[in-house]
Amino acid sequence: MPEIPRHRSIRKVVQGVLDGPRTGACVTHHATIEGVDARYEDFPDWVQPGLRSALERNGVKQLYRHQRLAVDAVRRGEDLCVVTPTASGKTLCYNLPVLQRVLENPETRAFYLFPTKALSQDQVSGLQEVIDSLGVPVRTFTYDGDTPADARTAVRTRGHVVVTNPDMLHAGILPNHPRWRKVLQDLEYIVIDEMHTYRGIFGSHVAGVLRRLLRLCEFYGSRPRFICCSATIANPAEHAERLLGRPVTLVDRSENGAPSGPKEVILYNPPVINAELGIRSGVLSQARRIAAPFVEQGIATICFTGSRLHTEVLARYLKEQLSRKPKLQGRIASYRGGYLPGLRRQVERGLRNGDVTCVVTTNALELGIDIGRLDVAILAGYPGSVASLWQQAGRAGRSTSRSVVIVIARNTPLDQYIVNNPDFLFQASPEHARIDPDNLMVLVSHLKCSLYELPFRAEESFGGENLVEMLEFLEEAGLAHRRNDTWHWSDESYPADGVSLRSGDPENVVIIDKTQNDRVIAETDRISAQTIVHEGAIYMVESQPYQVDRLDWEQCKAYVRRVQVDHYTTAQSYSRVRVLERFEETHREYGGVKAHGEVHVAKKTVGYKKVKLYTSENVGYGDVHLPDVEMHTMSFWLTLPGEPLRAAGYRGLDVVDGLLGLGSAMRSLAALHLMCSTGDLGLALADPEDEWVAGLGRGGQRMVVRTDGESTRPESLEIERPTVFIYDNLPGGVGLAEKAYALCDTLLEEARALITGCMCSAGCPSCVGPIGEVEDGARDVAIDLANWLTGRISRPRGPGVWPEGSEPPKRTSQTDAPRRDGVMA
Amino acid sequence: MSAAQGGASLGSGPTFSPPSRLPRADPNRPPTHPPQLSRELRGDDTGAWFHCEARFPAGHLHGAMALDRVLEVDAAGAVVLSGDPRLSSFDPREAVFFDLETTGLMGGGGNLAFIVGIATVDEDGGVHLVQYLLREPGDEAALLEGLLPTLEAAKFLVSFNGKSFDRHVLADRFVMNRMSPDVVLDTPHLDLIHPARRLFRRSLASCSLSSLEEACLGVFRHDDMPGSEAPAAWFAWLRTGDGSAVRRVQDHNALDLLSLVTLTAHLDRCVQAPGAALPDPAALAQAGRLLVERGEIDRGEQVLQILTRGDAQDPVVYGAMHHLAEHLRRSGRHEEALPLWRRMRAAAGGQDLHPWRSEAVALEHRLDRAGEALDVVDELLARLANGDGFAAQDELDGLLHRQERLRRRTGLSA
Repeated sequence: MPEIPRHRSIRKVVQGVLDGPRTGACVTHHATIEGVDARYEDFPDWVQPGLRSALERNGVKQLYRHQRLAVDAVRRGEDLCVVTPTASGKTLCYNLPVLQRVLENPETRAFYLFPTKALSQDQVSGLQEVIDSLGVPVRTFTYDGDTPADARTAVRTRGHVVVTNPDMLHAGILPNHPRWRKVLQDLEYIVIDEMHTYRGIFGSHVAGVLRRLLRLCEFYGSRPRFICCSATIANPAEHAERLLGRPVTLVDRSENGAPSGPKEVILYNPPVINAELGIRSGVLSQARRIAAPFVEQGIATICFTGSRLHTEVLARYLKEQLSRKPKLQGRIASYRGGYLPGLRRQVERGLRNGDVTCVVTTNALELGIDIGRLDVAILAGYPGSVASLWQQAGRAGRSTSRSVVIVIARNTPLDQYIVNNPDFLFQASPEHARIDPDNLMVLVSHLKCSLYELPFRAEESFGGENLVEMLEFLEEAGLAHRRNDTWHWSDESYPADGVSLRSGDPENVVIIDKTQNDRVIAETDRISAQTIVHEGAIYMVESQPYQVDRLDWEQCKAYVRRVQVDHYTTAQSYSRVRVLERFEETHREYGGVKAHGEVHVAKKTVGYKKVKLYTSENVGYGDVHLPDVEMHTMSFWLTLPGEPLRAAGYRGLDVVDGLLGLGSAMRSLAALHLMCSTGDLGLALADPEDEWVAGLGRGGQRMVVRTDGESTRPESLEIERPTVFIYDNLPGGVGLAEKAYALCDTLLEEARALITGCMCSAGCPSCVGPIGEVEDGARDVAIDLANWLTGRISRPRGPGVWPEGSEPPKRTSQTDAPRRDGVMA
Repeated sequence: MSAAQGGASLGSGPTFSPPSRLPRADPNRPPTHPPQLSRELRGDDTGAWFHCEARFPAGHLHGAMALDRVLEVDAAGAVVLSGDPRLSSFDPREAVFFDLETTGLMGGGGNLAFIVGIATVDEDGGVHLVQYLLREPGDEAALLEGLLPTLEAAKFLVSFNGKSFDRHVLADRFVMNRMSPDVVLDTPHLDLIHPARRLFRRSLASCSLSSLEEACLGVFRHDDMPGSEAPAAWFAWLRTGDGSAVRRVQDHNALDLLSLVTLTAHLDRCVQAPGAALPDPAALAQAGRLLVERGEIDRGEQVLQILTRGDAQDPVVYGAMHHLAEHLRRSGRHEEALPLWRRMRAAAGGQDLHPWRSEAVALEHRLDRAGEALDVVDELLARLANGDGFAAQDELDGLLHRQERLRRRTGLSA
């Protein structure tokens, strides 16, 4: 389509961003990562000639260096973890050794695990192409919820490669292992692709599933080897070892032999539009402005946003802006989880064959779904982890030509930190993938499943905890029956049904369009449904807005109709937190207490804001009436003594806003230190004796909600033990809270520095939290409290006193980097 | 749409009869009591099970039928009922009738068979019933070892729904205890649920074992424990030692086993002497079809022939004519099928196009009687023109095309 050669037009548009009168000043960093040449190795001589020529017919004439190292390690019988950048030919690292073994011994069996069904289908078709040109009957079957019942026997007995996902392994295959005895007896390889996605609570569950699988393999007398592929994370080998419970051979990215063209990285901080309030222009309108010229030139562009809603809004902006260009009609697509499979496949195909020039997406396209290579990646917001950022950036870049990545910062402490500290991206190591397979809730869940699968003997082990104690616990609960040193499952239930590997709730809410004969247009999980398809919400699919008329919570159905509106909605929610058990606590000099332990969290969605498109004005509120979403999880908390606060003259409102502001900054910094996303941590302010919690009332107004459900304005609150909770935002927790507890002093110091150093005058989204959710003055209170809690002053100074270290802000120009001294030192 | 259904939509004639014409249960009939079983702990220190058994003499009446009637079952009947040639040497005295009670309903590793119920038939037709009752999970290996000789000696297995459920559960139990499951999986297996459904699905509202007992075997259960409550009964015994509910599961299982024996005899009679065993024409028609399908051509034809003597307006009779005609056509016996098609044409008129088309095709292509074929087509087109029946456009086009061709062949067309 474009008449000018692609690389020349890319340079022109990039130059336009760098030199543009409005955009140039927003670029905080511009660097070029040099391209690398391919490093090739020969095929190992153990590869059968037939397999080799089949691969050659599929375009593989030589191996890249990392591929050669990987297949040799597998051949030596080692468990392998290979770290592969996007599109470096990772599937060959497992397909080659597996196919070779099947050719040598047709009884060989392999499991391929992918995190999602979509990825499975993609990989099966790729493998099938090689098999087809091999001309030998190697049978590859997908086994998931869509596999018809009459095909399942063939999969169990005849499939050489069984492609499935952890959920199916957990609930379908392992509990029924006697039927899978053929596969389990002859299992030689377990391939785990996209290993870095198995982190957090999900990863901990997957580790439990793999323990169960290995236990069964031992029963059937097989000793399979693992072949894992991971995107770049800081601790691939360690993560693999935690996940598999075995040491692995690592082939890391320093061995990568795949070529790549030069990549320009631009960090972009939107202009300040209100210096008083510290507000910068919204990330979506900036993304639109930056993306449009690329798309107009026909340059293949992918835009990542932070949420499903933002995906829809940005796609709509771009479609509207480019609606007058006839050659771009139908060439801009959106793609996210919740779209029905048919629509997703259509967009994927469009991207591969070039029919789609621009796709706006969530992290749904971050993983290895084959969409070909694109030229430009625009990240509307830091995706929450360095690993994700480079994964998304990797979607742009062909093997030789120039590609561009533009990261646009939001008004959040994390984003601001990233664009102003480019070294963090280019030098600091990426995140660690953390899992806790010995999380007691996870461990006991899988112990139950494993006991259902096979009786346990006392001398066995299962995870890091005392097996006999856990079995005795199950025995007391009536789930296990003991005979000498052996425990048997003894209940009529099917424990795998009660354990979901992902969110706590396996149910999905389907979204039904009443204006189109009750057609199902999308679906979402139940937890998200509260904030996405509550009554009155504007829900968008392919940029078409729908209004939700009714959410049937029991039946898991949301009824919507097509509307034409110029606003979207964002839900407002808060959490009630109650302490269940205190694991550890420390008393502080100022009379407060820091602690961590188990808590009960009830998330309450109370209403929503209507936000006007383009201007982001607040144009109204609505109420939502839905049951609370509840969970048990782990939390860190910091309790302040009430007396010094009252003595300093603080009213309830001041303390609530100031502490929420300080907590918000601490949460962002904890996310940076713990290398998780801010959303993995929940924030609440309450009294630990559960007398009140800081909540929201009608119209999003700050309210204090008491145990009896009565709401009052915070002005009248009697301050006794105000407590900031920062909790693991996942049922059961993954150990983030405990680490936050250990980091408490660092977090307080850095939060103080962050807020003190911010260029706003009264608090802004970049320091104490979004405007409208904290009142004016919150920043001053937060600084005063931080000074007190870090021991700089012996008592809080109280309202109206200009706190030390918080000089009136200079009117800074938008290009001045805010002071960040002390943060992340 | 099958012809039987087509017949049911005829405007005139009798409407379809109520689902069952078999003798219905007399509510005043005395209930069939479960047998008394002896109970003995067998095994050793490493594991033991309760061996519960009872012996029934050849003449013992279970419901309305003596147990030794099962001796009448022969290989021919078993092959018709199963469709499995491996049963062509079937002898009830070499078969194991079996039925499991399990601790869960989902299957899989943690689902135990806490009762393995077995019935075997003596030389003289007496029945030996054994229940292997599991005391606790750790005894399973011992129980299976105890069970193994019986299964190894079995040349055939007989069950009700066992091909889909019980045999897989039992196979899984052997695998779990490191024993070969082949003893269950490889033995030729007669699963009665499939022929029972074939024979009675048009006659009975349900083809569950208890429905069949009441409709065919004269067995009426009193205070029977539903199968879904069995797991809870066993766990109550395991946890509290209260075995009263497990006794009721044993009763249930024992009745199932005896019914399995007499149901085998009954189903065998249904296919060996259908006219005598099946008073219900709908079931009789099903038996005729089954016999023809499974290679007992003469007997199947005979059953269908008898049925076709009835009033062609009766949907069962009409259906039998259709199936018999189809069978004759497939066997190349077109001449014999002609009278059936004619009677069907007379009965259904233009409402069912199938006999018209079949007869026309047979006359034209197989019997080389184009003139008669043309008569059939002409008459049908005339009926359709008069509003008797309906043909879709492509159907009509086909008929007109056929008419044209037949006219040419018979020289009526220029």
